[in-house]
Amino acid sequence: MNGQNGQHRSDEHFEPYEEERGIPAPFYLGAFGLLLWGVSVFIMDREPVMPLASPNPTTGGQHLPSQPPRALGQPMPALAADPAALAIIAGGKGAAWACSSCHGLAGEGADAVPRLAGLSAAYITKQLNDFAAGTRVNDSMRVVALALSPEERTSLGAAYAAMAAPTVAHAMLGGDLKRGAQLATAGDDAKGLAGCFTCHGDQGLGVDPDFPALAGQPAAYLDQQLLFWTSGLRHNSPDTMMNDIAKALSDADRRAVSDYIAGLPPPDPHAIAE
Amino acid sequence: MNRVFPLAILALAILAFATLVLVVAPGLQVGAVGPTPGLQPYTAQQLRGRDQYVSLGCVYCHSQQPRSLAQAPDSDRGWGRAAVASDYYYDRPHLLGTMRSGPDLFNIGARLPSQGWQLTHLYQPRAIAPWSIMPAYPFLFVHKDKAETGDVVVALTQNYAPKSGVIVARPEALDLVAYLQGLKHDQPPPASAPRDAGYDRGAER
Repeated sequence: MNGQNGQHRSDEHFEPYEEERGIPAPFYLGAFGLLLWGVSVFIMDREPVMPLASPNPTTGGQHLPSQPPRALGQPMPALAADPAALAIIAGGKGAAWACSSCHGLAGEGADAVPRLAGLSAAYITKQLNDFAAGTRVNDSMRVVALALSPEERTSLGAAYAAMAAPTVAHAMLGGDLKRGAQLATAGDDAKGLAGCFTCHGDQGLGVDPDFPALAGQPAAYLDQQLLFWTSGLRHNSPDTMMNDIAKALSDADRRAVSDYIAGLPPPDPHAIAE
Repeated sequence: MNRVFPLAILALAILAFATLVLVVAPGLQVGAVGPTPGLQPYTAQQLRGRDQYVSLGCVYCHSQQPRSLAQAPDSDRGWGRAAVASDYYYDRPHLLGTMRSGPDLFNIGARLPSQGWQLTHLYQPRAIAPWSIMPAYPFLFVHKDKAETGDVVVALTQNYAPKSGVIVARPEALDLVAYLQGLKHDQPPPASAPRDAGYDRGAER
C-alpha cells in the first residue's frame, strides 16, 4: 500500500487504466433529433397570430341601422343643458376633477372609461349617488361624487343624457363576435341566460330608468363591470339580477358579449327627441 | 486541471451559443421591426417626463408590459392588449419593469387620461385610494398662497388640502403627467408582429 501511494505521489500525471467507453450512437441520434425538433418548432411557431383588436370599429353591428357620426362638441340647441353642469363637466369642482378629463369632451368614454353620452339621466344620477354612498365601489368616482351636491348629480345626469357623441368603442378582447351576438340578442337557454337586449332594450339602447344603454360602451369597461358583478364588488342592481347573470358567463362568453356590444352604434338622444 | 485548454474552449463555446440564441437571434427577429402603425413618438415634454419616471424609480413597482390572456388576465384588468415588440419602438431603453406592486402602466394614458387625477394622485395617492401603498411625491409640487397665471392647481379633498393657499404643480410634475398621458398602446398590432405566443396555442381566444 505504502509503496503504491509513494508511486502515485511521484507520478503527478498517473491515471488508472480505464477501458474506453464511447458514448453510444443512439445518444447522438437522440440529441440530433431533439435539435431538429426544437428548430422546426421555432420555425413553425412564427406564423402570425390572430390580431387581438379588430381593425373594423363597428364589427358585429353591420346588420343594425347605422347612424351618422356626430362631430365632437357639436352644439345641441334642442336639448340645452344646465350651464352649471356643463361647467363641472368641462372644469371640475373643488376636489372633483373635470368629468371630461376622463370621460371625454363629449362623454364618449375611452378604453376602460365608460361612455356617458346618451345614458339615461336617472341611471347616471343613481350611479353618482351610489358612488357617494359606497354602494358602488370606485375610489376615484367616490371622490368625485362626494364633491357634488345631490342637485348637481341630478343636473349632470340630465346633461349627459342629452349629449350625443360618436363611438370610440370597438372589439378589442379577441371575443367571438357571433357568440356575442347570440348572447346579446337571444341569450343561452342551456345556461338559463336571457339575452341582454331583453332588458337593456332593442339594440342595447337602454330602457328608462333602470336599464342603461349598453351599445357603444367600451369593450374593456363592459368586460370589467361584468367581472365586478361576478365577484360581487358591484352589487347595485335590483335583486342581484346582474350578479346572477354575470356568474353564468364563462370567461370566453364575457369577452364575446363585451366585444359584440362595444361595436354597436351608440344611443343618440337627438334621434329620440326629434 | 490538466485539460485547461479543452475546458476553456468548451466554456467559450457555451457562451457563444447562449449569445447566439439569447442575443443575436432575437436581435434579428425584432431589430427590423418598425413602430406600431398609429404609435406617436414622444414629445420633448414627454421625454422630460420619462426622465422623471426613471429617476423617481416608478419602474421598480410598475411594469410596462401587459400580457396575453393565456398568461395573465391583464385585459380583464383594463390594462389593454398584450404588448408587441413594435410598441417599444420609441423606448430607449424600454421600461418593461419586473415588479407589479402597482398596476401596469403601458396604457395608463388610455385608462386614466385626466391630468387633474394624475396630479392629485402623485401629490397624495391616499387622497384617492385610502388603501394605496404608493409613495407620495409632494416635492413635485409647491405650496403657494395664491395661484398665479398659468399655474396648475391640484384638486384635493378637504383632509389633504392645505389650511390656506393652494398646491401647485411644478414643471417636473406636469412633464411626468404628460408622459403618463402619452402611454397609450391601444392601436391594433400589425398581424405579422412577432409576439410571445407560446402559451396561446390551444387556449381559448
